[in-house]
Amino acid sequence: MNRPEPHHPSGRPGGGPPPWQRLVAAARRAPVGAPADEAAPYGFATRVAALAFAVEAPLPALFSRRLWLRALGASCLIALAAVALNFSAITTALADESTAPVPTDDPVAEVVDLACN
Amino acid sequence: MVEHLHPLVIRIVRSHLPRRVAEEDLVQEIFLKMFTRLEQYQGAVPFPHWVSRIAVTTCIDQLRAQKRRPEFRWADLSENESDVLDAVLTNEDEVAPDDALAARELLHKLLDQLKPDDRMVIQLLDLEERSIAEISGLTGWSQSLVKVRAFRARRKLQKFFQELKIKEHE
Repeated sequence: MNRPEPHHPSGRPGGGPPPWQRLVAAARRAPVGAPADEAAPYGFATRVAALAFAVEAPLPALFSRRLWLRALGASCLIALAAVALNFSAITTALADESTAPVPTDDPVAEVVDLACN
Repeated sequence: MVEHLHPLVIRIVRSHLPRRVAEEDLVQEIFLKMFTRLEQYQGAVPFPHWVSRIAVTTCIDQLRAQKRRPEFRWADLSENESDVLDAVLTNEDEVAPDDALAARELLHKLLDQLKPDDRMVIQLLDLEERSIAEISGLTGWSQSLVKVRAFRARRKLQKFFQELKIKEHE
């Protein structure tokens, strides 16, 4: 493994291990706690599970911020593509509208036209 | 699942438990985090390893939350702790086997003097004898960062011991 070389922060080569290493070695000799102490207390698992389920569920993925931003971006791209594809048709229609005569077969247009005149 | 993982989590919590924090509360917080983040588990590492990482990072967060670290004073040490400190500083006497518990207490008091991240690295590296790669996996820090933190923490401990030695001679 890539365990680092033993470090001697005391800076005294040949003078025995530094104080920290001596202290660590001494502390390691201390007895460890009984394994029985490591078992979960009675009812602990139930309490944790109940608390976990009681935590408010996160918003559905559909409304998550990341997905919402992606949807916004995609819709903007679609809108721009639609305008680009139909640009010539739109400009032609606008140009025709200004010069085109009022259709005579539309009774509403005729009434409006009479009123204007 | 909670009962199965409890021994693993309680061992981590007991090793890195901050002062004035009840271990059961911290274990509960770790398991709640585990449940709420279950969707993030990708299966890249074994599940207990993933839970260990949550436990370690939660302990670091708790240690960071303790803004003030207690001052280390000779006067606050018990008789056995003073004997242990004297033995390790003078490098003349071996620490008596009966003083192992005092040595452990003293060691934790010294660790309290370090920054939470440095303390975690030293504890995992020197006390639990984990490898750099293991610590990197547990904490999420890069291996270089772990080495830098270990170096920094040991240098600080060295400085601390030198100061203690000067105080002892005064």
